[in-house]
Amino acid sequence: MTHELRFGADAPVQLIILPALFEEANRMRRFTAQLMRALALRGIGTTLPELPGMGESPTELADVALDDWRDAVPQGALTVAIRGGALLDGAARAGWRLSPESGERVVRDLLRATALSSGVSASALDKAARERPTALAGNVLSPALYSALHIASPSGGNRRTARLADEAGVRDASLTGSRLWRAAEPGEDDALVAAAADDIAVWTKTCASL
Amino acid sequence: MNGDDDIDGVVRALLRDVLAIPHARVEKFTPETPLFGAVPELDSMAVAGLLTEMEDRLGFVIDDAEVDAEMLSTFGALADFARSKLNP
Repeated sequence: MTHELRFGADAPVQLIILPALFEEANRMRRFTAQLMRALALRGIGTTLPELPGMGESPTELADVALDDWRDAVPQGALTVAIRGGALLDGAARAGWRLSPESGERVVRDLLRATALSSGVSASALDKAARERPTALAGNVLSPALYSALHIASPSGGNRRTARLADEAGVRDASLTGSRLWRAAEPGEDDALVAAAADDIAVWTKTCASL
Repeated sequence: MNGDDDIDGVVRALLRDVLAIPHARVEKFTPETPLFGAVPELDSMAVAGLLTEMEDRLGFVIDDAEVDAEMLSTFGALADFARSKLNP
């Protein structure tokens, strides 16, 4: 039995939600659920799969490879990816992304956080993580997952990228909102949810012809 | 306004935007105000995010070897670090 979340199961348009990774998943959980509800109100159904090794998944994260996460996306699906979730949307025929990150950055954040809290240098952690399952910011990653993340970057055509207005980076849309994924405590940003849902709703209409 | 104030302002804005520390509180930070270890919003994951954001906003790359508790210990230390990266 999976612990996936679904809204709007009867809607004609269905999207797969790819969550933010690691600690950001916790910080974005409320936003993600609110976004899914907001999309259901706009006649768009969504499914948030449970990624193996994350949340309440019975699988050990140390046994998970990056492709196990990518398998959450059926070939040709439409996806909405939050942050590092964009690394998983390769199989989608079209995808929407909120503030996507390269795998190198995801890894760098984990290394820095662990170095700061443990006193072990980032380079020593990197070396260890390539050789054996290593705890990074509380997550035990296998060398396979760590190495794959390190070189992963968001890819694929038919992708629409939204970023916060004051973020750096290439984008197709700017949204006004706060960096919920950076805040130490989970927060809410109703305006960002609405802006994202509106942009996604318009975008899904353009996908109809794909 | 001289260059130093600009960098202080950028670092204040970073702390405010990235860590959601209220504007009024950030404005009261002095060079001696303690950060990492003293500010509850600044846990190690938040610091990692702060550094990435600083790289993006100020246009430099922070080497892993440069990251230590020292440069994060006070507001002044962080601002000085940013200045040193911009004026090597």
